[in-house]
Amino acid sequence: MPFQVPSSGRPHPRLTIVVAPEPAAPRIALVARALLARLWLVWLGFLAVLGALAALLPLAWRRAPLGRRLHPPRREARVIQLPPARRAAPR
Amino acid sequence: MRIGIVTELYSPSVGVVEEHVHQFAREAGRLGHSVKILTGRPTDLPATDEGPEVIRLGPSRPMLSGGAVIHVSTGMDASAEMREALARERFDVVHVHCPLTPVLPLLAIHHATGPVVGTFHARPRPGILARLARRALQRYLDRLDAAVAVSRACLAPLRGGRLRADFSIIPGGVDVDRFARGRRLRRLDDGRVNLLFAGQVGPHGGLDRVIAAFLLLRDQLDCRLLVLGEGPLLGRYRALVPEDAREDVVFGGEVRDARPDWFASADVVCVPGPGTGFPAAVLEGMAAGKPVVASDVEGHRELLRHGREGELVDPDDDRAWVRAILRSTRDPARGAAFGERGRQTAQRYAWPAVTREVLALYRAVGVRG
Repeated sequence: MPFQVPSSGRPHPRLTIVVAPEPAAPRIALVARALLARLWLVWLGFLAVLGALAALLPLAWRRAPLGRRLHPPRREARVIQLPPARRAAPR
Repeated sequence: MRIGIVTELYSPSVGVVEEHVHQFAREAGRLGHSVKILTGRPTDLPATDEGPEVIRLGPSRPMLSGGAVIHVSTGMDASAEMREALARERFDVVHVHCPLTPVLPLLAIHHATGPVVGTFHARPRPGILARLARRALQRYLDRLDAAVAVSRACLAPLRGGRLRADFSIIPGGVDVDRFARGRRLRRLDDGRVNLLFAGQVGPHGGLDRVIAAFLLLRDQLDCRLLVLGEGPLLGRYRALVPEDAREDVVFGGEVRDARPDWFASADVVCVPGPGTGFPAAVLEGMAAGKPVVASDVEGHRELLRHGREGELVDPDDDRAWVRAILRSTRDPARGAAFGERGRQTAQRYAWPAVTREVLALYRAVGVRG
């Protein structure tokens, strides 16, 4: 009968897989990556602004909206100053 | 009533305006109105399944604005496409969100021949271009039959840009039933105190403030920080968390369907933002029945009363945040009372109520249908 090794819950220490921590990227690489990401965002923003200006260009021909309000706002009441009171002339 | 909603911000991108438009369209549709959403077609996001009620007009490109990614429609055809869509659909009212922002909102106001209503959401202070174009923008503002703002706080930047209009305040809403049904996520339900941040992951969202308060709090409380949201600056905020605290900070990303479950898993909801727009996270926290600790700013004061649904604290004082969170967690009865009162307050902002208010405004300006 073959000898059986009593199984334990843990594998043999030499066979356990140890995940080595990833070596940190050099600082200059991190700075370069951040700079590239920033440039990419600026480029995307530039494209968006350019496209938005092109989309709004037709509004430049007529600078006010084409429609009108159903009920135009009433003009604010003006306060007209009364002339100073005059005293009645003596008879 | 045939309602056309024009917005640059809509699904598949996620945000407060997107949610506002989606919920209003759903609720108005439920009341028997025909609602169509006119929006752009993002070039960088995967298309989603949507019905005929969404009309995609043209390509919209991403750009960085105020630390967040927004989309703007582009191309020379956008104007003609908007004109044709409005002529074809013959809406009884066109409702424009963020009316003075490029591109679709301005095009819609320009081409609409019927009543137009505009809703102003959060808006950064006007830039130099907006200041130069102030007169033209005022003409577009004057064209609106009704101007709505979701809070008084979001009008401040407009006043800074010296634009004038009579505004009605109609706040955004919250899906009260959905947030009340949220269930605690099992993996976060281990007896530790969960603090939730669900604001904007950007330079003005205040996530750095919450992280700083959390790091102070760890010595006094067995707690964990949950962060919802995405943004280009997320990596920067991750780097603020020291190595030994990384396991205690969970970045959940952009969560949609499971959002009520994340709120249900929280013990305190922290909203440190500037409150310049509509602070939806405050309402969501209240609807979920959680105590809310928010920065003491005008936008939050409009929704939350200090000592009733939560606490308002000095936005720049980390220790004040720590003390407020400790008060809500160490005295469970106090936290529960905040939550219960918050739940009651949130009922006022349920989408059916908000939608009825908007529909009443349509009729007040003479919309028929």
